[in-house]
Amino acid sequence: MNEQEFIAKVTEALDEGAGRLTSPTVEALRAGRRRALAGRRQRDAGGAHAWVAVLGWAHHHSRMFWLLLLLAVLLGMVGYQMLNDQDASDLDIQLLTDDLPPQAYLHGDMGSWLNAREQ
Amino acid sequence: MAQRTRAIILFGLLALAQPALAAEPYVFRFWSELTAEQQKALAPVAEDWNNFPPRQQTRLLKVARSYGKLSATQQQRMQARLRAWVQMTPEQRLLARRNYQKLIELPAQKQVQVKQRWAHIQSEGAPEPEPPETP
Repeated sequence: MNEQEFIAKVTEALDEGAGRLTSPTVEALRAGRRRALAGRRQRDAGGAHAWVAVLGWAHHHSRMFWLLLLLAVLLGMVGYQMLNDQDASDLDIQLLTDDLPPQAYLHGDMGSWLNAREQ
Repeated sequence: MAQRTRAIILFGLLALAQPALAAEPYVFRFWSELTAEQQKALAPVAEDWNNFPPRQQTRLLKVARSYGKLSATQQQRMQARLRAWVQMTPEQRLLARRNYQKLIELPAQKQVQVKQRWAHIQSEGAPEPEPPETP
């Protein structure tokens, strides 16, 4: 038996099986399918509802919302500066322990030496 | 639904403020509050320590944290340079960092050339720029 014949036999068996299902079983399967589709539609709409609710809250508590947003942005800016500082500390360690003293990097000619790529 | 809304708003605001939560806080510490290791690493600035703002203290403490991992030569260099470093203005430190960053991004050969130029200037006796007086 080749593949095509095997598929044809399985399909035939399934069709026969489906034909023998009793009416209550068919109805139960149909109800189950309806419930599954309804659940899927609800989940899809859930994300959109959440955003509508957030916008609704922001609209009704606009002063509080803007205050909280401002506070969060300020905290974010301060935090960003603090994280930058921590990165700069790593650079400070390298700078303080490298061959040249830190004052070398303030020398008037240093900028031109560093920018003169082609020499 | 109201609870879910509040949770989403809270989550959004926390996400915006996240860098502040992740960063190490600036805290003022007296010299006497530092550990023996921190005091050893920062000994050159002991006299001025209590006058430093929390932000500068926090940065120096981070530098001190790496002190134990440095070689003996690097430790010596760091201590010899620390005092002049803290006496620079914030703008001078920023310029030094920027120029150092540019230097380390250059190819190795170019880095050597810059260092040789500096060494040449030093050997000619040109005065090194003085750090400013502490305000």
